[in-house]
Amino acid sequence: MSNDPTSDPALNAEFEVLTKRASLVIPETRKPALLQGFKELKKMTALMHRPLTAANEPAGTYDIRTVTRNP
Amino acid sequence: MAKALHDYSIAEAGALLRSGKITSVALTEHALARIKAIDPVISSFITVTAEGALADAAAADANFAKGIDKGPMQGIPHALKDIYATAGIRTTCHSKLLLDNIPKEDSVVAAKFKAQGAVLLGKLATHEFALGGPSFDLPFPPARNPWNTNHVPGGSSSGSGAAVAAGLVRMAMGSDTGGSIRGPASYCGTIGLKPTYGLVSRRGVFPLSYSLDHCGPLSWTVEDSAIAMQVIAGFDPQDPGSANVPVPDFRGKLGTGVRGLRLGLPRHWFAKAEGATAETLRAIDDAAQTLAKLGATIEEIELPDYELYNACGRVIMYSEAFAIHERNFQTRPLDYGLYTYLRMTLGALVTATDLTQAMRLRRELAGAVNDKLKSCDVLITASALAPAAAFSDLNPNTPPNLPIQTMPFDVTGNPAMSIPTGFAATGLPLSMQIVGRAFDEPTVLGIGAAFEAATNLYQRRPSFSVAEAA
Repeated sequence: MSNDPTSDPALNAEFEVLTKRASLVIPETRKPALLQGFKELKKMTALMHRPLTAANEPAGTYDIRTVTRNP
Repeated sequence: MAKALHDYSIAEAGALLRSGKITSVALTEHALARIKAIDPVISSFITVTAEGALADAAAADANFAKGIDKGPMQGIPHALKDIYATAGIRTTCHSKLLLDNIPKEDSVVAAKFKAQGAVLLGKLATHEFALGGPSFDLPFPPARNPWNTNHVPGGSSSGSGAAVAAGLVRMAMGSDTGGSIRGPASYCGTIGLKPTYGLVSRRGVFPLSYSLDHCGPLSWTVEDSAIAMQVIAGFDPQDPGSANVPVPDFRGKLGTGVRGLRLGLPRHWFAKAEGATAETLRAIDDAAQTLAKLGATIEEIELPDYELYNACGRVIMYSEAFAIHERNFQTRPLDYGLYTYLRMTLGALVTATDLTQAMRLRRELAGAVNDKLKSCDVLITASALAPAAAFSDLNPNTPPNLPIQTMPFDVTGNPAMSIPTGFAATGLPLSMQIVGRAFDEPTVLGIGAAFEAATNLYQRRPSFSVAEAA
């Protein structure tokens, strides 16, 4: 298997693990579309992993007063 | 009557009701006749509650006759997206899974309209569970765009946008998690207001994503959204996301103009965005010019990359949505429509770290918007980047990613309103968003009303090839 975590085999393997962990049974016919969606999702989650500071404190993000507080 | 009954706004119809020139029963019968004539073409209603509506209308007329006035929605027909629980009325979320779901209690919003003596015409189509669609593999057909029924009306509040645009109702309630009020408003050429997070109770509304869900109105005019907001806004201690803040006068800044206001324009978000059409961009620039001529100052501003907002919102939305539907996805996944299934399964593939980082980033992104709103009264930016797509352009095997830039303000929680800016050469509506400070809906509505009065775009309505009611 490629060492590149974004390669198709690596994504496939990760997809299998995550769906199994979620107790999902995925029909073979739906896998291609889901894998395509997973690729797009990986691009989005990659954007989340960026330098963040102590100010990026997630507690209370359900509260508009803290969501909208100034940095 | 100077014009057809459905052309009267809530404010106009309310005045006629109070002067005794029309009755709520007449308004309701007219609306039901229009639904019967037009809805077979646009499929905006899942359930029409004709009998209950006529009873509501008769009760409203009786109250007017007795001098009882419960508020501006008394006697006014309206409709609710079919994710709002309605006591004794089927609430399906447009899904096979809830086909027989008849709630025992009203959602808070439904109860507030009922308490005001409003007339409930029925329940409206949605993308399944406010996420899938527009789908043909569900128990009900997808709603269609009244401006051209070969095109989508946007979603997920698809029926709300279509019903308002078609003049079946003056105001319909939608919900907005990633743009589900503002998308249909953009594609259908209506007003669509996503209020500040926490301003309207979500209790009794089927959740899509706890920390991103907003309830709000779609309407033909800005004032009608302001009227609806006056009825539905307010603290609900039983909604954990509800904000205990004073309810403003939503009509307080209508008619006050825009002179002296500073409007921030994050043009870099949409000017070169994939899928943006020249007509959409030109219409936003023209709108900015119109507002400048009315006395506002337009200032181009920089915000963090749009894709950060979009990704942050989607990671949170998919995670929370899957958590809500986890059990059904394990036991009966194929009862969901294909689009819903393909979108929602992604939530199972988000790791805990991904989600936590998204929540951390969310605060930073909200801070960036609010920082700009220290010096700007509002932001104006794109809503949909292109007119509504045709059904025939969608891939039935993959959920569509329509070009629309609404997610940022679900992430930040700021109030955001979609408003028409004109029409494409095809006759389909174009739009923009006006975004305000948290809990400053009156300024958003005031600017929208000034733009609406300057352009009069709301006076153009779709026509139908079917025989219309009265």
